[in-house]
Amino acid sequence: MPEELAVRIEDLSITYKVSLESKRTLKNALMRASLRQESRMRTIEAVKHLTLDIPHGSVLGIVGSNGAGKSTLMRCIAGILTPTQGRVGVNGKISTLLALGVGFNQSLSGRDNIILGGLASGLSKEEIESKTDDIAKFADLPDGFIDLPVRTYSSGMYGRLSFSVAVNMTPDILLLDEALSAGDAAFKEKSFDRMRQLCAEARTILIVSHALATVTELCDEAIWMHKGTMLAQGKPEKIVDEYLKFLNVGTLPSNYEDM
Amino acid sequence: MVVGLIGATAGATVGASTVETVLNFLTATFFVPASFFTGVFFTTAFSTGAFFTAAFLPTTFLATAFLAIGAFFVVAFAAAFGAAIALLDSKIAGSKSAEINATPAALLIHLELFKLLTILIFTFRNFSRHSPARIRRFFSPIGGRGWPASATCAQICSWDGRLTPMPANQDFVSKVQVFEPHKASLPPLIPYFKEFWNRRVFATELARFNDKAEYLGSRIGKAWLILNPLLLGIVYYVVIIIIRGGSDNDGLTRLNHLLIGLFTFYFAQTTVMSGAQSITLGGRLILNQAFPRILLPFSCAIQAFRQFLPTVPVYILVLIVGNWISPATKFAGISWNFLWIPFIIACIALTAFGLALLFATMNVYFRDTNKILTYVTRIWMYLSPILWLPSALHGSSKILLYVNPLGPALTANSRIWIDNSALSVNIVLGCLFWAVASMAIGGYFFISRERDFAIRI
Repeated sequence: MPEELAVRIEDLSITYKVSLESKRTLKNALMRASLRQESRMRTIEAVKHLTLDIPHGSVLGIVGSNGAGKSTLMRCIAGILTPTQGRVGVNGKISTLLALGVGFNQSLSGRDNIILGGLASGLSKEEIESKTDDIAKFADLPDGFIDLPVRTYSSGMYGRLSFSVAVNMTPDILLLDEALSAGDAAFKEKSFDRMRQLCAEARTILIVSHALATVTELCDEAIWMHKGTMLAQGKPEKIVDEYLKFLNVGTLPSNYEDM
Repeated sequence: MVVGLIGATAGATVGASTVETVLNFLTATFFVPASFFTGVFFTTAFSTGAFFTAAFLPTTFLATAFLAIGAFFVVAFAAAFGAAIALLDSKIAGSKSAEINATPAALLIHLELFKLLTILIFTFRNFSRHSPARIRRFFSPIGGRGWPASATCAQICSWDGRLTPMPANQDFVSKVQVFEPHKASLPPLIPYFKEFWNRRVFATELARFNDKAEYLGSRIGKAWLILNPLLLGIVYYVVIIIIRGGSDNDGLTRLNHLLIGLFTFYFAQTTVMSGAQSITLGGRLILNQAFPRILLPFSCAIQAFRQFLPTVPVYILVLIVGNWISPATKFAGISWNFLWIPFIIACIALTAFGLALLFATMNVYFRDTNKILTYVTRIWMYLSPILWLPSALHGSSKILLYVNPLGPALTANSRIWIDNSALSVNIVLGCLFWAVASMAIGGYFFISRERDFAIRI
């Protein structure tokens, strides 16, 4: 894999099966068996034959309607899902914000959750403990809240803390999924600054967002995904423009029809 | 259907006096082994008949009605059978145990078996009738594409050499990572366990934090961890003494046996129960980060061990105080045999951890696994040499000690703590067998399917 690339995706396909049953319980499975019903499954082709190179220091925006496979792609780059076919190469340390929330125990304090999240992502205890104060400061938590249980946080505080953890891990590659909707305008400005700073340090950011203004403002490259395939790649303004046209008209532009 | 059944049986179970049922259950089951095996036979026949009848009927209402009738017959039969056994026993043996009326005990064990059989028979039907291929796929080393397929990791990639070669390094945090489809359902194991080892601090810290969170608001706090099994042990002991009409002139020996058995069993039970839930409760972390998922149940095992440790000094304290109150209490003394204790604890930990991995995987696919697990662990405790002495089993019924994953280890435990006698080869081999078997099976299921968890959580 060439040194200048942060992420190389080669012919990536991700397929999985989901159960359509409302309750996935052993009891229901037994009930279905006794009534001789087959379990209803659907195969989802979340990503189809995607090839993409992302160089270091770029900010890539990913736009697309719901179900386009954006989140699945991000999870695959993070190594949470394995490819069904093809290959993903990642050059550098990854930090993710794919699902809101730092750790996962609501009754633990924010500080404990940060430490757990950091340990899970492979940092040593000293490393993460030295970062907690910066993280808390960046998240603008009111005084003392960092040592209170996370369940006492407002949703804004929760979102800001999650974002703060992700950007303060000094990642080489930062994956953000709908993460910028959390804070208020002031926090948004602050997070934009932080991301520009990360960029200047030649770190790479991938952003999935439905806030198209964010994409045009922050990104220097964008792709448009639709039903698992990449329809277009190019300058953010152009991509957003085409995507907006599609949203308004409801049909794909004619030059994409055969894809 | 199943709900109706469980409702009916639960009602009957609660209705019976707990005190009587526990002790009578022991008597009927283990001091009169014949009643146990005959009971198993008849209960199997009745419940199988009832369920197959129900399964062929088209409506849920009729099926429920049939099941209720079937359940009624089993209960009635169990009661009559238990009484008959007790009568028979008192005539033949005239022993002390025969004074006990075995009816509620027989009832209880039949009901528990009935519940278990419900699950087993339907599971069997599910596998065999509808898709015989499924069970094969579930066990096949390639994973397969059917239920509960791991599509993300199972399919073999057609490799045509078109792609440029990349250094294949599967570490989670190394500089360059390459994610490829796994050629088999297991990921490369050496990097996997290396990563697991690198992040062991995460597991220990998670255990510590969870401990902290659990007892944060409780005033007595961690004392509950000791008080709970201690009080339960004393209750069981009192019940045993009342129903037996006095102790066997061995002082508090039986209480000591009960306590060390309960403490150890709780360690295993906590590992299995909380480990089974660890994946479904770890949603956020699993969706957000890539790390060996085995760390989550592992942290539960550590937490269970941390909770188990303080109960050992409590046991020794009870032993000393008991000996002081009643000098007849068997006092083991210290010997080289105690060097076996770490081995036994390690075997129990591995066995329980392996089972936790298995049930954690099942819980991702079937969310009610945990509810079923509460029944299973209860039966498991009754079938383990905790409330009864291992020496109560004779002849062929001794096999009960070996088919139970914790049987050999708990027997060894009691032999060392209570009798201070050496372990037999059979017991040592039994401990080892269950530790290895449970880790191999649980580990295989868990690791081969853990890439699927992020989709199904």
